[in-house]
Amino acid sequence: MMRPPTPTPKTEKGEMMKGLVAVVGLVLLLGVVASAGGLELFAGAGPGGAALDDINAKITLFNHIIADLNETPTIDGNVPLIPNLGSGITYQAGERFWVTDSFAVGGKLEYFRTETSTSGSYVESDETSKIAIDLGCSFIGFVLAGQFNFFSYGLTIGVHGGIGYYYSGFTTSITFQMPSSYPPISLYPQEGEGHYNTQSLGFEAGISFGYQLSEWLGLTADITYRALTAPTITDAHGTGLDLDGDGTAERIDLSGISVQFGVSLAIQLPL
Amino acid sequence: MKRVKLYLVLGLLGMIPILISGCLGGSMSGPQALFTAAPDEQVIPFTANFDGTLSYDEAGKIVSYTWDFGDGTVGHGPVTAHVYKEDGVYKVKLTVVDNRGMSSESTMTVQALNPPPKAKFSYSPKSEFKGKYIVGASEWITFDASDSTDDGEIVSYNWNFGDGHTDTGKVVKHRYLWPGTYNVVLTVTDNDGGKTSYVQQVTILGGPPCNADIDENGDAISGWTWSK
Repeated sequence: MMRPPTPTPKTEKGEMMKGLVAVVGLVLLLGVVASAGGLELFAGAGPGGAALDDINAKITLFNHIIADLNETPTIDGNVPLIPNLGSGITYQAGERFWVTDSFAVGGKLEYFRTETSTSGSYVESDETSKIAIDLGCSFIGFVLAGQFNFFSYGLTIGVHGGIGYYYSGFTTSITFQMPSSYPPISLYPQEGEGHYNTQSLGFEAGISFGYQLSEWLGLTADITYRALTAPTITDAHGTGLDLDGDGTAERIDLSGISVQFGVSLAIQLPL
Repeated sequence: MKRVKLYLVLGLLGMIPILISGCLGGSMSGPQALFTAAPDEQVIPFTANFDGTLSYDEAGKIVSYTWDFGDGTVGHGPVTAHVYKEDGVYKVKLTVVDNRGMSSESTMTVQALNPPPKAKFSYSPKSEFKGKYIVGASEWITFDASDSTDDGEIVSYNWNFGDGHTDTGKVVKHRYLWPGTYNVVLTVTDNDGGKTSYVQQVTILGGPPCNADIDENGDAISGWTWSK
């Protein structure tokens, strides 16, 4: 007997598609409008960061347990501590239309991913306890943005800001076999694999630098602060992310700074 | 001039790592309560040892440890112990407070198990034959479970006589029609749901049962055969 689809995921998927279509439509519209003036295509990549305070607090907790296991004399083995989650590479590509010499509007697609992991094992008598923790967090955002250049003397310096619709995801793969001689502990990594998703609005603002190498080719560098939080992130069953089993869902704070180095391509399309 | 501009760009780009390190600085974190319990499951009465020294505070110092043992009593200090005398599931909570007044809680379940009842029975009559007890076939035997005990109350006695027959009750009667050795199983259940079984062998001696034909008046046997 086939199980009917649950309405919640269908609704979320529908809203996701609507948002995606709306943003892509607006970006394409800008491209059409841009055909009346100066169009600039740009793409870049660079280091980025996300706060992920709640997640890193849990990583600190896990590291305390791992450190204690490492130091327990009756247990052999040394598992490396888990690096904090938050650093990664941000990629972006988009277009902007120069309404005036110093003001442009446009849209871009932005992707960021950060990962962390550890693995090892503990041996005690003839018992081997495996430890393997992999955590990953990413988002893809569709951002409508404006830019204003206030300095232009070969080098251009400007400010930019925008509003975006972000699809965020979090993946977990945790194996944490506690050695049997270690006493039961109140909090510990919850074993299993999980895929969690959410969508939310975010804002960003920053400083842009540009340097024209030729009439049509330029180098760009952006420093951008992104405000993006996802209060609830759930799996396909609606279960929240609870890394340590304390009954409280972790909050995903993807706010942070990214630095983008890229190239821009100016296209003049007179009507 | 172009070279000056290029240096300016590079200089500004060089500020980026400084900005990143400044903006991504860690937020103010409080203490984290974390503890172990050994054992966390045991038959009562038992002493559970709690160790809260795994609790930590990245930005301060933990100044108080308060334990709620889940049975209405509390304790203090990073390491403590508590005796559970009544069976049940207890939610133990550790609350730590640091020197800034920030606190954290962590909970854990301790299961104090009900001691199972002790099952035992005797039977009679029986005779000693070549070092072991025997009972005659077709003889009524009284099985008595009065020797079974519990810290509470035994609420049921279930018998399995090993010949396909069962019964309930503290004292029951049963007879075996066929010779052989039977495993008699007594299962007692106490008022907390604890169960214990006790097995004892009963040896039956004698011939197989006789199938007799009784006349219409019921006062004479007109014929008989031995069953096989």
